[in-house]
Amino acid sequence: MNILLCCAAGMSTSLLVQKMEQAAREKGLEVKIWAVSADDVKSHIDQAEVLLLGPQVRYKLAEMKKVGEERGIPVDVIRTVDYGSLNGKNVLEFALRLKQ
Amino acid sequence: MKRVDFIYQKLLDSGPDTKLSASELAELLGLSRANVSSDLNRLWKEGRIEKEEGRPTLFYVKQAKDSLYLAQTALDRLAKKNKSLITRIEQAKAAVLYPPRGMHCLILGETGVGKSWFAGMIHEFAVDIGRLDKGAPFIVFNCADYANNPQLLISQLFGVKKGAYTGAEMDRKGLVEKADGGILFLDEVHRLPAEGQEIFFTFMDKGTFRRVGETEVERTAQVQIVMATTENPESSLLKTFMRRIPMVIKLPSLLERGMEERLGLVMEIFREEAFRLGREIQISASVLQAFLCYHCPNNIGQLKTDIQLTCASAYAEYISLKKHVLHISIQDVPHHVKQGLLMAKDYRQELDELIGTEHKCFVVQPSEESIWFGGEQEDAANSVYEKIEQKIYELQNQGVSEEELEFDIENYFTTFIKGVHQRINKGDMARIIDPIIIHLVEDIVRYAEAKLEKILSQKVIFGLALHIQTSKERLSQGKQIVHPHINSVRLKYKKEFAVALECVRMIEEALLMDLPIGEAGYLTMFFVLDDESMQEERETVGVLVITHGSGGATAMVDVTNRLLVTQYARAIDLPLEEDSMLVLEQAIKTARDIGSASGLLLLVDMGSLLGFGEMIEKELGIPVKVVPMVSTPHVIEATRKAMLGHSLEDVYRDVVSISMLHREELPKEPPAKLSPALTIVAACLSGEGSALFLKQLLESRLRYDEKLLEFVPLQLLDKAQAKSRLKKIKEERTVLCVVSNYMLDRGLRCYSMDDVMNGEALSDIQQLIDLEEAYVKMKQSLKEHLKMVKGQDILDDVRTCVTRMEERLGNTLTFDTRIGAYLHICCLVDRLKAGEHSIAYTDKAVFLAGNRTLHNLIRHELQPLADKYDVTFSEDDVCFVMNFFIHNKTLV
Repeated sequence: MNILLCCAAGMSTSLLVQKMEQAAREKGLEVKIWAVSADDVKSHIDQAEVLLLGPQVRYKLAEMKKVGEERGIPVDVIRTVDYGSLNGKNVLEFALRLKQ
Repeated sequence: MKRVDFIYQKLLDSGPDTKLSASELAELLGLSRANVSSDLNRLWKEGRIEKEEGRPTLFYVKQAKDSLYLAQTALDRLAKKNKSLITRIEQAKAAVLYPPRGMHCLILGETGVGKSWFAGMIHEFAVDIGRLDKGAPFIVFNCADYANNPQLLISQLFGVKKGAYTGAEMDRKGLVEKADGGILFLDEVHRLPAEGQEIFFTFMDKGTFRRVGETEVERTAQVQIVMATTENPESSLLKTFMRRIPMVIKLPSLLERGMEERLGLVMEIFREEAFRLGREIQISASVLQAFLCYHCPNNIGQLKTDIQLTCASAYAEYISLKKHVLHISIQDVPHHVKQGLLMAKDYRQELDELIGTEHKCFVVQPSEESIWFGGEQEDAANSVYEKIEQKIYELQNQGVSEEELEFDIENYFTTFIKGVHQRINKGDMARIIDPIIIHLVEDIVRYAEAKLEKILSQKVIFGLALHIQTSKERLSQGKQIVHPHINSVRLKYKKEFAVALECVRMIEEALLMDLPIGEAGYLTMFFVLDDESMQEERETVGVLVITHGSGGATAMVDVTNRLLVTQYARAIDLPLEEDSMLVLEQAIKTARDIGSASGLLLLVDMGSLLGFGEMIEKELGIPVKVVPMVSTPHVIEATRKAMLGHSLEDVYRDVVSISMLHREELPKEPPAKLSPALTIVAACLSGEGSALFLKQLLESRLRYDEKLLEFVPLQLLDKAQAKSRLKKIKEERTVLCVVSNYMLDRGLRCYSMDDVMNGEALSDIQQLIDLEEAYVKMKQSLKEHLKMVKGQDILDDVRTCVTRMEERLGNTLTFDTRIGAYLHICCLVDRLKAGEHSIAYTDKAVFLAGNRTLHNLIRHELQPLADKYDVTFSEDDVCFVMNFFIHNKTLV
């Protein structure tokens, strides 16, 4: 399972990546999770199965959804509370649910 | 040409002030006299021609207004009726007449004082005196409409060149061009985004501009700019404006207009309504008193809405009951207006002088200028309260239609009344409270209001209903109600206690259960607390600022009052040429108004003013302290503390210590917080009734983490005790908000019980919780994950930094963006500290060129962080932070 995260500069999301990877390990899941800035999404999306946006780039949702739809990849915004509290477990589950 | 215009033309052609009769005109035109006569009357009604009564009646066209001095303009008429506006009107005239093309001006004033209307008056005046052509444009633009899209805003204002961007398919004029030769009115100018300001300043300074996409041509337009804002003119954004705007006109709030003008306004609005309804309106004296005295924070706009609502309610009754006259009685008035009657006693003398004591009602005609006094003398027995009783009785007899009527009117007027008219209606109550109890409380309130000769406020009524409901539940479970101070209550409030005893009997009858005597103690407190919360406000320390020079004191007090949303602090200016003894008299007068047994704090700048304190103290016999230095932070601190009810000594000490502490931030260790760290306090009289009920309600309706947040009930019976208890809670934990019907701590956010019950406040509270919880958890996560800096410290610093940016930009980040911004900046500092390189921002140069002001501001505000953590932010880093503010709100 490949999960791509996107925020303004790909900076704060990288913290979340660590937490999500930790959550995945606890669950015994094999995942690849990485974060990029909004501008770089296009060059990474082909390797992804799910694309999640940080709440502060919610304004890009429509644009990203379009990109995702063309490739059959689900796209959504991470819940602000989960994002703010860096709740890797919740975000991972969210991604898994989207993929189903 | 229609016949009527033809006749008008003839009259016009025969020269101004030439008087002709209908038959003369008929002969001249070869028309029938009857037709001409009816047309002439129509023209006269439309105000296009004048009439001279006699036999025969003569008609003529008045001298056209083409001279500067001849006409009595609309502004002059306005000044006549509204003395408080005279200086403002003179300012407006000066701004228009200033050669060669008038002066830009800024109109300040609270919401609803009539800023847009005043701008319209300025335009009308300029046309009236011939400074502007008859068809001169008056263009209105509300900056808030485009505040989130600076590019669109600029193209709206200045126009677009074809091909400037995709979609610009042809050249388009902007509003500035459209306003050429006239006036451009910019409302809510504080929302003009930073990007728009610079271009706009160039236009203001030089009168030149370019359409978006144009480089070669420089265009000019002759436009007088009138701006308006509700903001505090000291805010950083407006300061840059103020430098360029020579004329600032501050419109007074309704409160500042005084009683006499308010009467004029109220009558004028009623007259408009009478005109709209096409019939005379009778207004009872108590209604008039209520409208003159009630708290009306949104000024004339709200006054208008409330009067319209009242008229609509009375009109519905008039129609449905087929009454002969449209009479407005106190029952038709919205509840919050009714509370004006409670305040009326403070203005008794003024009211008596203005509207007299002998009139029972006032009659407004659809057209007449004058007001008629109707009815015979009001006899003592026929008091306000009996009228209310009678009215309620009437309504009750109508049965269900009452509620239906109310519902319809409210629905119909929601657009007018949004945000202003807040009352809980029976429907809301019924959802949570047993209908039997609602009925019972209505009976109790009616009885108590009549006996105590006062009107109980809505919050008391609601609190009472909730209290009885929970009492009933507790008693049926066999729990006892014990009122700890019942004896002292009985002695202190004899009258209220007697009423409460009777109410206990009513409750026993209605609920078929025996109540303990303690219940009467609680009810007494409900009747008493309502008054006390008002009186208590008056027992705080007064704050008076006096400084030399014109306007200094007023400006500081203005800022303070605006920031704290109050009228608490007062100011007196001492112009250099004025005799200080005159000012002393004025100061004593003001001190008498605002000083209380608790004392008065005087903030002055120098010289003879230092001695004022002693003189006022002697004259009034109240303690006075003088702070011999004054600046806006002093005034704010003094006012804030005084409003919180601190003693004179305390306020004085704190204010004086500001100057010493200035810029010297003491590193103090915050006391260890208890766990859970967050709390919401719910307060009620017993601390066990409604508060517990509220606690349960909140627990079931809100999402939260039990490890982080706890609801704490608080007993309110002894207010001083409740306050100190709350203070202690505040020291131990972060209090998110208080739910209570009584204001306990002005520093905390407080929601009333009814707002929580009807769900209005729930989403607000949920947001508070979400934000704080996310914040606490974010702190924990950051602590684990950041390598170079301490997670708990950096988050606090970043939060302060972002808050300052928000304040300076006047742009409050949404919850989403804020969380993102906090996290982003924390990680950014950590990365820089670790020596990692910055991430490049795409199209940085273009982005920066378009947002220079924002860039400067953000860079400036980031500096404290850079200093503290010893890092350097690159331009790319700053760009990413700017982005949060640009895309804020466009996300939703």
